[in-house]
Amino acid sequence: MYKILEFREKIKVLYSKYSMYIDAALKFIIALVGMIVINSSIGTMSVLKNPLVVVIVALVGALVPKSITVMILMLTIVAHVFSIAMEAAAVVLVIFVLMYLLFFRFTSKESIVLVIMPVLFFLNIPYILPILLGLAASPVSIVSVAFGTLVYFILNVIGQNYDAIVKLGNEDGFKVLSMLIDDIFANPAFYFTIIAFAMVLVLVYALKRLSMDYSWIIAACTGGIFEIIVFVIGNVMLDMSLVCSVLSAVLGGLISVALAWFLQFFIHSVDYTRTERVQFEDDDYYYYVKAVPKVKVATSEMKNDRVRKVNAKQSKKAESVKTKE
Amino acid sequence: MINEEKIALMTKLALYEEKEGKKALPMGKYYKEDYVSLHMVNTVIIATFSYLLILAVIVFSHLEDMMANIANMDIIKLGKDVVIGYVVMLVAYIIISYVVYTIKFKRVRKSLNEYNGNLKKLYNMYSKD
Repeated sequence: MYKILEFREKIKVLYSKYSMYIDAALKFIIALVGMIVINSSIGTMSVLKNPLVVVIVALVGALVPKSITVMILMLTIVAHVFSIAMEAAAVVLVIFVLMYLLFFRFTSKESIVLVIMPVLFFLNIPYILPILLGLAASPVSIVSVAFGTLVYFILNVIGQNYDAIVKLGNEDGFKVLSMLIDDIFANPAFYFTIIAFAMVLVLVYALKRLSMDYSWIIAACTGGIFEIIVFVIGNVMLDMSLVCSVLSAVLGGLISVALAWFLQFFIHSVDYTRTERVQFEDDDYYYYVKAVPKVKVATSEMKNDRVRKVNAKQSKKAESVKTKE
Repeated sequence: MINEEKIALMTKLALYEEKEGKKALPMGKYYKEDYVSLHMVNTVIIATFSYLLILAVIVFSHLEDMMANIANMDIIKLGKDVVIGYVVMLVAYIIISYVVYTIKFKRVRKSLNEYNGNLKKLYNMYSKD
């Protein structure tokens, strides 16, 4: 346990120093993986499948804010669908526009879930996201998880019925449209998945807020086990072939619990530990300030200390001040 | 002479102005009622537009059935359903938006109060000098 906490402190220090580069790298990876997942499931437009284009999109994703990366990836999906059937692309576009209009105008930050959720689905560990959001966010995130699941279903339904859709698309675009709508919105597995995720998120959120020791870990583990049980039951009751099999539900669930257990150590802190640079002036000076957050480190150098401070509060301090007149 | 305490305070203020403040400071100009009702206008427009989009998708995805049954469709009942759906969605969305923007406003007010407090402290430092 202490080893992990020490490791976390080290990562915090590292992150606070290089947050600019680490953020960019993470965004690059998310955009890259997102592009690869989209291309491999519904890639019809050959221009967008070009590795050079994929890398360029990922590089752009590293530089722009996350919500714009998400928009670029969503437009990529629309473009791919467009090259199959224009009418279907119009529907997908309308769905995305509705998501933004109705929900993401409140919390544009959460739109990244739209990309992460399908990626996790393809990695067979979507179970982790409701657990993590239950730990870190509020029940409102249910909506973003539901939309993320919807994006996955759009990708997967098109991917699975690819040949049929291409054939239909050549004959009658409207038929593709009604087939897509039926396969997604008349599919009980779709609603089952969303309700299951919503229940897990609320369960984890409620358990986390209980005032008992280790409530975070208990919440993560309970959520994971609950998820495994629900999805196994779902597999028995419904045709869940689009979501998971019994085996992948159990294995993916276990991996998700382990990952969630590990990641929950980091959730608390990462957001507020970045080094900031600001400029301002007063009547006498110009100030170029680099503000480094105070991070208390419980590393092995402090082994002899009687008390190890693990959850040290950080505050920002102007550390190096250069002035010129 | 450089006053370290003053610099720490100014840094805090500058950081706020650059981050949260970018959205919060313009918000500070409004009273709560004005801010929320301004967003309610947006909400009504967005809800109406969204509802039309949803209707369009439903119509286009069932185009063939509708064309086949157009003769024996109960137009009045259909019209009623459409209107009821619109009203339900509008009311629900207005309630949600009202709650969201009220919470948002309260949160921003809190952070703005802190910012103003720090500004006052800075002002006092200057008047002592």
